[in-house]
Amino acid sequence: MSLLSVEDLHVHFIARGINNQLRTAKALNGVSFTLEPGQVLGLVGETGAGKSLTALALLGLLRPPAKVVAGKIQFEGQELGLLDHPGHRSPRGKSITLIPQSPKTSLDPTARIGDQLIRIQREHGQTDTAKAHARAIEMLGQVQIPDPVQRLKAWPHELSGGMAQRVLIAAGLINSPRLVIADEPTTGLDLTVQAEVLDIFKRLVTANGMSAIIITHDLGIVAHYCDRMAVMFAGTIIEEGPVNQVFGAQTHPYTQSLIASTPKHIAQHGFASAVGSPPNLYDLPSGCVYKDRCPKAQAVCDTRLPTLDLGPGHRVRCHLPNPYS
Amino acid sequence: MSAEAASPSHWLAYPLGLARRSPTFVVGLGIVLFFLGLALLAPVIAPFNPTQSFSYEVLQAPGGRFFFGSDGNGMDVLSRVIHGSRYAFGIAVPAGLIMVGIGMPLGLLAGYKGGWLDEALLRTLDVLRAFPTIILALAVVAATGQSLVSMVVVIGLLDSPIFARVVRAEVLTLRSSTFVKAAIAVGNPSWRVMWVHILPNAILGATAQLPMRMAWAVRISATLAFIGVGIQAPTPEWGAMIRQGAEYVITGEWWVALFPGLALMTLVLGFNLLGDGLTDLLDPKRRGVGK
Amino acid sequence: MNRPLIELRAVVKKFPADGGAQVSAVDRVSLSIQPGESLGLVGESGSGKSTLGLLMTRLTPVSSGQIIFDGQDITHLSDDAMRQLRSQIQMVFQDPWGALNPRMTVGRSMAEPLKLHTPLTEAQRLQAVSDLADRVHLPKASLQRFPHELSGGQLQRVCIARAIASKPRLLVLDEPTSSLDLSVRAGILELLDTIRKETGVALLLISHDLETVELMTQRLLVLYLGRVVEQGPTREIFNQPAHPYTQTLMSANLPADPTVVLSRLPNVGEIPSPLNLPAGCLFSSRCPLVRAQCQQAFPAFLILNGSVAHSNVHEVACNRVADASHWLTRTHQNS
Repeated sequence: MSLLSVEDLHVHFIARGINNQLRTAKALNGVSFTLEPGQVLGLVGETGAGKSLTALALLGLLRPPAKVVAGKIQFEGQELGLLDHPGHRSPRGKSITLIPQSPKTSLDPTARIGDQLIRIQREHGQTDTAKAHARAIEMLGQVQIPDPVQRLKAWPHELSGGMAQRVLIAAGLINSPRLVIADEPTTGLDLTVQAEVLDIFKRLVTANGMSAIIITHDLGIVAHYCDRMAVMFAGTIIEEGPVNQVFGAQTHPYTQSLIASTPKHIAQHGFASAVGSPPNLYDLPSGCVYKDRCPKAQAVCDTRLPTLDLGPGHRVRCHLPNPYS
Repeated sequence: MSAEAASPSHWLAYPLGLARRSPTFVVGLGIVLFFLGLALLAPVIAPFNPTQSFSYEVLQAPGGRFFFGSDGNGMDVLSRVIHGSRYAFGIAVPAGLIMVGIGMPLGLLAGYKGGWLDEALLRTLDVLRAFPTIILALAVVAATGQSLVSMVVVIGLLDSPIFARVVRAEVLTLRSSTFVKAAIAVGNPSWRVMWVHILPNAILGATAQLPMRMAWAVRISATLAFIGVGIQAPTPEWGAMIRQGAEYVITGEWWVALFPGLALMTLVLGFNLLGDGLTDLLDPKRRGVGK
Repeated sequence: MNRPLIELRAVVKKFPADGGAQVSAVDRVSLSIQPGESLGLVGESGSGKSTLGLLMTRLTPVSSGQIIFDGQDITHLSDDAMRQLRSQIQMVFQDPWGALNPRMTVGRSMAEPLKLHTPLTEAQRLQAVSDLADRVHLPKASLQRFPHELSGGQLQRVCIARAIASKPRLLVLDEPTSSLDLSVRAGILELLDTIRKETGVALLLISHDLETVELMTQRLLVLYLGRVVEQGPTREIFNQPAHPYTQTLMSANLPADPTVVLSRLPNVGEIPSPLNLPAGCLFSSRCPLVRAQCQQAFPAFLILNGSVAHSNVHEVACNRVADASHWLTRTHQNS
């Protein structure tokens, strides 16, 4: 049994426009993927692809105007409630945790680091303050923050970006979750700090047998820190598989286009042809969501997307997959 | 990121959309427009001449010929209340124009150039804050002769530094924004940076302040009249009417003061709601439309 | 050697910090750009690279040092004279949404430099703007739109169009693609490359992304805490980064290719606060190769390749270059 199984998730946003008409944004359109214990999945996509939204769904944090139109999520065999209800017992915070973006603004500015780390444990059942305190020191040590005992007393604004991100990692792992979701964990960090933070994250996740989902738009992070990757476009996962295979085969035209946009690729192969405009979630085309931008689009692309198996764990949603060698 | 939604299918769609996003704005606008309508149409809709005195029907209770009753001089309260809105707008609008005419350039220059002008403005504001404005207004109006014009000028002048401060705050924020840096980088001289780039953007934030200042203008002119400075009876100005009516409250003729009081209160409320609503609408840019 | 298009000589920019102290965002930086050349400025936070961009376009005054443009000292040029010169030095900013006046249509924004620097009539300007839109691949319909109606990529094209409208000789680009989506970045880089080839404009590309700089620039300056630590031909620096900081920086890069084996350099801590700079070489607090000598004075530049007479010299500010002991040992690491 997989640790996590997302099946055909459809989420719409309903809002009123300036002329009082209802507009529906189809933010997630049939997202499906599975995650085994101990795996690290990279969720890649551009703005509006739906990566953060998927994370919110996993954490049970969807609120109106978001509406779950179809689909379900199973975690450790149990179905997860997707909408945020007060009193709703979700594994959020205990078995599934989030390491959010922008560390400086994600920490509570009015509480010391130590207090926040202890608070998180108490909220999920740890009643012994001494034990929580010891665990906080242990976690700070694990994320390689020097002098953890002193650091417990620090205020968030006293930390550098890299340190704050590491504290967030400590906070995310302190309750020994089964699944950690890291949302753009290195935004705003310097290159040298980014490498260190990711190293720490990967090491801790692997050592503790956790699964992780890293949400990022940086292909380099996916290439070197993830086992599997899922490429998202307009709320759909258009290609999913082991990292080596997806990079190697680049079956879906969008995957090809992403990789072709990296400067390294341009240096070797020259500039690729121009890209179209970002998808309009209020007005998605029928059939394949990518067809308006796809150089290989044909008549068959107007029909519903298939899911093609390309090998062990490697799936692509395209009518005309064309492995790129 | 698509362009704005298509044109509404029903003529009510846009106002309804607006009402949804800021009911405060719509209510405020409604009140202000109502009184503006009264002011413009006063000679037509008022049942009587406001200064026509019916000596034998003094202090009649509401009902019958006089819908709001009659006052101590036998004048129809309703007609006087309706005409009173002319004075309210007649003071607030010109005072508002003076305020913008002086306050806008002042705030713009003070915010952009800084220096002695900025210092002078800030010190003036300090003085105004320490000084009860009523007393100041009282003194000046009493000294310059109690006419409509002097009231308008005094109120406009008193309002200017406050409006200038709001404009200045907007300008200060804008001055450090990237597009202003870009405007300088492109080669704009200072005056163009101020006029073309900063001003149109500063106006937006300052506009919401305008109705608030108008509300204050209406209130203070009524207050001055109530104290006995400025416009006096038989001119149908609300403050003067309340002053006269105050004497009769004790003897039970409540209508003489109540109706002008209600009108004053409602119009000031309307301006405040309008200002509040404008702030709502302008601040989170197009929230709800989605991108 | 030709006369450089622009030269910075020992430029310093100080900012006041808390407690009356002064922080040098840029400390005695000297560089030159030849006409038509593309130079990259690379560095992490606190490196001063963005400040250098502002100094070069005189959007902020220098604290000391000189800026020479086309042989003329423009360091203290009056605002009026500088205004005219601005047609020659233009800038593209990182945030395309913030760089345009939200109350002006993008067409008007693009026309502005023409209005300020050329004697064209209104009709001629309209035509010129239309031509510019074609050059940057912007649909003509966009010209009537306001900034909030366009996407990031389109807005950056507008900014580029505005920057090249007055036919400048130097274009300063401050992280032009960092705020944009992946698939959009390539288009912008291609546009810049085309423009440089067609017009011969010199480019100063400020970026924290190593691969972008490697693709787009001919020469490179590596900045650390406001000082240049290494400069030279881009190709050479990427093949064999000499300065220990450059080596560390390059090793932290993550190429978008899982088959590339990362060769990591050991953990060297974080960038110190600019209020608390190490004595001598600014990297000495983190350098695995540090010696006593490194903490006495900032190292002089030593030449690795080429000669000063040629603009493609490769020089490094490190004491250990003299005896070629400046190479850090790498550990290979499988992903």
